[in-house]
Amino acid sequence: MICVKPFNNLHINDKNEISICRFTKNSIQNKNLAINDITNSVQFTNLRESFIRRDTITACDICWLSESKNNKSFRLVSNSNKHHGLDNPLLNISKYIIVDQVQTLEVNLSAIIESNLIKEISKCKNIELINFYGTLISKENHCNFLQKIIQYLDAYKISLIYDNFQEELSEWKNFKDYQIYEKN
Amino acid sequence: MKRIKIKSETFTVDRIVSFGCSFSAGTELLDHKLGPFATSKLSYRTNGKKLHQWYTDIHNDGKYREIMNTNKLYHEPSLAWPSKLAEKLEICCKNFAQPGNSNDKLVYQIQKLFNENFFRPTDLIIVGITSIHRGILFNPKSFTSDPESFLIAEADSYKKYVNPKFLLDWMSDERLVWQHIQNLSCLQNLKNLLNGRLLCLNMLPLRIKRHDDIIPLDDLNPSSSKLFYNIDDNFFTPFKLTLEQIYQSRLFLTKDCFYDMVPDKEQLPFFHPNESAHSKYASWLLNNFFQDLN
Repeated sequence: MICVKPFNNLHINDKNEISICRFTKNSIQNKNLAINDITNSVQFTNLRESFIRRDTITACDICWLSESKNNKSFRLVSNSNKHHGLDNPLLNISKYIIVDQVQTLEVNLSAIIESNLIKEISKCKNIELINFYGTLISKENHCNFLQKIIQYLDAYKISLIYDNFQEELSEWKNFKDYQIYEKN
Repeated sequence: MKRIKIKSETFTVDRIVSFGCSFSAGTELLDHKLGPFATSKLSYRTNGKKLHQWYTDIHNDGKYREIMNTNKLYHEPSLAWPSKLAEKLEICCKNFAQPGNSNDKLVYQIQKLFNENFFRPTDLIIVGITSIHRGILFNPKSFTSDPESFLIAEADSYKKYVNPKFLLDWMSDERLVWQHIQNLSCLQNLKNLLNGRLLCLNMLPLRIKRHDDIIPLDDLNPSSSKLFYNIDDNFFTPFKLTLEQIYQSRLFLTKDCFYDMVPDKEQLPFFHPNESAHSKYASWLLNNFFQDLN
């Protein structure tokens, strides 16, 4: 069993913790760590190694459960993604990864992301997609996050996906494109 | 990012990019995850059946074909010695090795990636040189321009494209050695273009055999076959000096060959090293040739 997420994705949850996917239970606290210490932390490297060894990974139970019921799991959807799935040439199945490999970012809209973390994440120069989900707590914070991304990264190469959102933001025009799955 | 000293040269490295054959691709390492087919593979060996027959049979079974393919593509290369070496250095590894690869093919792969600007200034490229009894064929029916490797002793791997007699006549021992020298020369040039960040290691012994002794694949076990001759023992005087010069250059980290370092008890059913052997080989490289300066 392979999943692309541990090898090309980062996720920031509502508590500002970082994990490799929004559905894993395995997350680390953001304590002003450097991006390399985050991506190659013990938790993440162990998780990658388990994937490489085809071991049973309890942190990813949500996907296994979904697949056992013959449903399409997040793993299967991610693996088959045309740009960031298994066929993507930047994908590298390795216990340790380089920051260039991070291509996608998932962010909970409730998270208030510190500028230091945004600075570290912006070292991932190959980010092509940011997926926002959850409930928006502060529009100001969210706009601030987008502005920092525009400042540090090539925003015109990045697509934004919102699981749900209520209005349009002026910052979006700086990005490659944006998509809202569900407008409230 | 690691600062490492290899022999007398110092490099800053954050990724190992490796190329090679099944010995670098970790072939067979996850066969135990194949369930009943793992047992069947063992029985093929004990019953003296051919290895390629097992692969043919497994290819007819969709379920196991899927596992085999994902193992080959995503799992096994990440458990082979290049990945072990990278893990010991706590850096990333991109392993392009493929089972059945020829030296022609791996030079083709490196050349292509070089032209695509794939290599970064902090990469260390390690090439696992394989047996010289292999080549590449460009399949006109293929959807990609990538060539396919063939084994000279396995007619099945090329007879659908080329008349076997023609191929065997063309691939004389002299031509195989000449082809090997061309490949190594190409790697020397690439090493210069990559600022010295390319190293070669021998995976299989450098042996030749008379082309009129061509035998089926399953007798092609280099150390057991009496039909193989060491280059040094033989009659290839014109090539000896050139090969010696290449071996004395900076291209090879060592002349020792991985295959010769794997004891019988650490061999998997079809002679590939097990995970412990891969790990030991990586440690051996690290302890003897790499110095961590961090």
